[in-house]
Amino acid sequence: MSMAKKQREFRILGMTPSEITKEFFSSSTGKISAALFIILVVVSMYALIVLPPNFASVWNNPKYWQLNPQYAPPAWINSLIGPVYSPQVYVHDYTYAVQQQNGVTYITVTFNVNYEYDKPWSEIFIVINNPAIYSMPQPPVLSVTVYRPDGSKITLGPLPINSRVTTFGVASEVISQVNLFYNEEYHVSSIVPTGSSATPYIFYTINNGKLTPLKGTYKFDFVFYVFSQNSSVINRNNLEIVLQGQTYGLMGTDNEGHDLWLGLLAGFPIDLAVGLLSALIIVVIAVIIGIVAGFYGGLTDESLMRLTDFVILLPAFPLLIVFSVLFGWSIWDAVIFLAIVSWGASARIIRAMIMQIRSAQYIESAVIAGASRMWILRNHILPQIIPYILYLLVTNVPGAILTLASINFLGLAGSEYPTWGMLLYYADEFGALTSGYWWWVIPPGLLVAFVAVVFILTAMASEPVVNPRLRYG
Amino acid sequence: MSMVLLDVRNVKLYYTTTKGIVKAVDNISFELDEGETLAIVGESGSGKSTLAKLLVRVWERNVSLVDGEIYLEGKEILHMPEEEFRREIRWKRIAMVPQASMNALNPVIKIGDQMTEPLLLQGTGKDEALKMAMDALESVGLPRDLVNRYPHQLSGGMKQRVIIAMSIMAHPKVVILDEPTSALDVITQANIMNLLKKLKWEYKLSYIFITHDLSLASELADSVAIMYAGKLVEIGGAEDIYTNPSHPYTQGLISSVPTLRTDKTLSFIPGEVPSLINPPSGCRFHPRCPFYKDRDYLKGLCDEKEPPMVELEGKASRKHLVACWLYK
Amino acid sequence: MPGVFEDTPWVRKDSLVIAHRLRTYYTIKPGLFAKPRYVKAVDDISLSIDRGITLAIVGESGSGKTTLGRTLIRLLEPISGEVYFDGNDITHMKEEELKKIGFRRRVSMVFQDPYSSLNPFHSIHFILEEPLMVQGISMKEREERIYRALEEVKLTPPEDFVNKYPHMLSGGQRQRVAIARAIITDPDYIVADEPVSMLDASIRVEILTILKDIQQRHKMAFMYITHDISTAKYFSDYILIMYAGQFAEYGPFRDVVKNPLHPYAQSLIEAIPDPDPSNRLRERKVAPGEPPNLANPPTGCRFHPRCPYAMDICKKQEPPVVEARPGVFVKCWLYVKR
Repeated sequence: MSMAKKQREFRILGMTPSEITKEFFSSSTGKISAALFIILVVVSMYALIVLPPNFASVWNNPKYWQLNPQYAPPAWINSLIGPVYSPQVYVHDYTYAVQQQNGVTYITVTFNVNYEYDKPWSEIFIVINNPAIYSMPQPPVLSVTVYRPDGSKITLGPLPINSRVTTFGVASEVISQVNLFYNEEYHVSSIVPTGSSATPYIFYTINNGKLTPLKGTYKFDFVFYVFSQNSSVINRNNLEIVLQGQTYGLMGTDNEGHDLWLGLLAGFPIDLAVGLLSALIIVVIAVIIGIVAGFYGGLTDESLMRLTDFVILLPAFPLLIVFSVLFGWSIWDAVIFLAIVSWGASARIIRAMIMQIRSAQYIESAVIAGASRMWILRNHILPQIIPYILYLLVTNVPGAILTLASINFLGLAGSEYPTWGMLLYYADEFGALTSGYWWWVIPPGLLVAFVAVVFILTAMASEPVVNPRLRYG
Repeated sequence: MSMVLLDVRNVKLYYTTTKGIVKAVDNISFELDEGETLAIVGESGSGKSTLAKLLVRVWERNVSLVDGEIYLEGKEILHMPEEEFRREIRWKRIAMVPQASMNALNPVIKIGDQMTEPLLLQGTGKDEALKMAMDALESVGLPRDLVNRYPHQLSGGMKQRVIIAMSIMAHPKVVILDEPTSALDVITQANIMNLLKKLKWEYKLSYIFITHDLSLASELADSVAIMYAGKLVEIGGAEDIYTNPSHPYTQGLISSVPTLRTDKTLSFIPGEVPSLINPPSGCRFHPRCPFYKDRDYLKGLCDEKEPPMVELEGKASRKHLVACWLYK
Repeated sequence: MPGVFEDTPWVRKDSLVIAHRLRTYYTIKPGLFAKPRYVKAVDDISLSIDRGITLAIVGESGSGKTTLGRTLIRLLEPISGEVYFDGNDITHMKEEELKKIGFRRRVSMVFQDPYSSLNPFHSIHFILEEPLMVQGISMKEREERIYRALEEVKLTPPEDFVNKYPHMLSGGQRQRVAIARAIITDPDYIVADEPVSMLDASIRVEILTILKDIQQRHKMAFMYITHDISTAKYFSDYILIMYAGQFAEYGPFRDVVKNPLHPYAQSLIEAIPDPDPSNRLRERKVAPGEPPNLANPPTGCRFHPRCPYAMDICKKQEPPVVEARPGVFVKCWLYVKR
């Protein structure tokens, strides 16, 4: 008797893995959801790679964002509406010359800048990343000459450099010098409003009594007077000159100048993690309760079902709000709480599946053959349940993500880490909608919806795999 | 001298599935005389239910071909406009009792309302319709006041009687019964068959009785048609078919039916009913036919060419026809 | 245990399978606080089956025959009465004790529906292997037995079938797998619950032949539950006819079928048509009506509302079981001698 054994195919739910993938992709929903899911995963991984691990503290440290304009729309807005807003400029292209005379080091930095916009730069920052500066007995002094396209010239300074970042336009000398310039040239006095920076007015002219932008090439001459023999106090490595623009980056900035592109990027892994974790806990609890109730029946089943009914009735969101306020919860506390009150429906489903399988005739056959309960659980029930568990996982994620985004939107259960919900919270707090800061409001909202939709599509596409009656063909 | 009531000629019904075209009914012809009962006997996958649906023109949406002609009292009805068929023929001249029809009763509507609904839709007055319904109930041996009851209050046999009553209410010429007793107990089945016999004698009904049970068919059949894989393989008077089965499939079928009152050796037909998507070439039964296996001269014949219908000598008034190369 | 039970003299005490005055009721609770009602599915049934013998249990749907089969295989526990297997009282034994006497290994069941009695997610190999694995048989022997079982049910060559899944097989093939699974542990007793009713006519014979061959080869005790007496004829030595959960008639198969005594048995047998064209010319004389609701059966003899011979006493009192002919036992007042 030959016993040639053919390679037994590995099957789940009666289908080989290749059949499962074929079934999944046979619908257009499957193809789309798979593509979007891959995008989601890729972007999240990119975010984790690109952003530093301590991004939360970076996000909350103003030092990193102080050079950015606040409430600034994305830089690409100029390609839509024309050259209206000045972009953020980091001056790299400058000439650098050192001269030493009488114990004083003269460092000359010159650069040109093209101004073609309707709204000029709002500020000029001089950043010197050298702590030695502050400890010098006599700090360096900066004098700036601006050669304007119309031939006029403004001399500004001297300004003491005694901190890492020198904000040019708010120095009192600069303000009075600009005022003086306008007075002499255009006979307008006190052009710089009190409390404002003088920098924008460097780029204006008066035409027919009106303030108009003076477009053209500007030449800036920066001369640093360093009272030390050490010429390297200010050098190319530690010197940064930044023209603060009206726009910034890929997705603009918020009220604190945070680069929203980074903020949104950071949201990917965290929202995914939060959604998946919540769904995971939900499913674990649901599976345990569902299996115990469905399998043991009787009093155990009754009591567990009453517990499930109770949990289903709990108003998850209001409770979440109350507890978040009461206990000052972080996002992770909220995740766990949400999972604990949301497992009801899934548990019911699992229990129903198990009860249905239990009443099947092939289970009776197994019992007659002498199979123990554990055997039946392991060999008959679990193989059918497991694909459905994965499906339940996927279907629970969108709800979790949306609920957590909502709770963040209320300003609760946040963390230092910028989730999309938190971004929306701040946007709302600072009147983003009424002020028209659409780049602060729309992207986070869309992304929350997007992630939810991706999971829903994935669940839809995997339905035929899990439910044989829905299979096509 | 009975008139030909129903003349079915070369009817075909194919339908499309994701796996291919199913040739459910493939070129079937037969006649039904007035007052005659024709039993169409076939196993699952023979196409008999599809044939029944074809006769009342209710078929699935994925039909790809309907061909042939059906003449009812001389008038062609297969290609008649649907509106006319619905108005004139369906349920009025040809009625059908479908399979598992006891479950076709709406559980929340009274029996009387369900029975009178089709009559009211045609314009019959309420009182007249109710009287017709009660008369019909009486003729099937049920109390007249059943019109006020709900289906769940009735047993399976009673529900089946209601359905039969509904089908004869308009005094149709032909009643098609598709496995009318399939879910019923043996004794209830005998009672229903008695009822059908009585109605047949009383109202001179012509039945087309579709079943897989050859023994049950003999309860009503004046003639028997045997279907196999969408084709008609043998047709003839009941005496001829039961005492002189000629097609190898019919012979196999008869010898596989256990009899209670006589002793006989049972034999079975090896193999399985073929798929209707890709049926065997030539005679569809040839892969399972014991004669084909035995006789070499049939090779090249049965497996390549479809056998034509041949007339045999018969005792009954109905012609005895077989589609088998053995008789050509 | 020599001899017979006194109150049920057709039950031999040394038979392999014995049911004595078995009652299996289902409780239904119409509401949370209402009094529970009983569905008397099996109401005082006694029988015995010896090795190598087939007992046909015949009755219509709702007669309790399936419940009887399930009780005898200990899927259910009766509310009163005893079940014996090979001399052991297994009526209320726990699973561990049943295991000790090897009950699960020695007893099998074949179900009616070939489509739901096999787990669609298991391969044929696993379906057949499972009973052996549960009994702790070694892998090598399991393989041998699987192939042997497939050959016994004529699913050859076995290699072609072991890696298939149920949905790839026809109804007849699936039922053969179910039978293979039932015989793979080499049982002494098989309960077959309507094993061919869902199969086509031409396939039934094949399955019945396989069952008969198996029984003769292994000398098993067989309980063949059906509503179709014609199929039982080719496969049964004795017959027990049940009506509304109760005993109606019992005796050697041919004897009872040729000369049924109980009015229900008479109707049942009269109701079955043979393929005979003269059938259409006459009416069958059978009892009217339908089987009763087992939750609320008629008083006295349960058949009395339909019985053409019903007498006064039939409505009031349940009849005793009497031996109307040698070896034939009937529960009917007609045969009780005054």
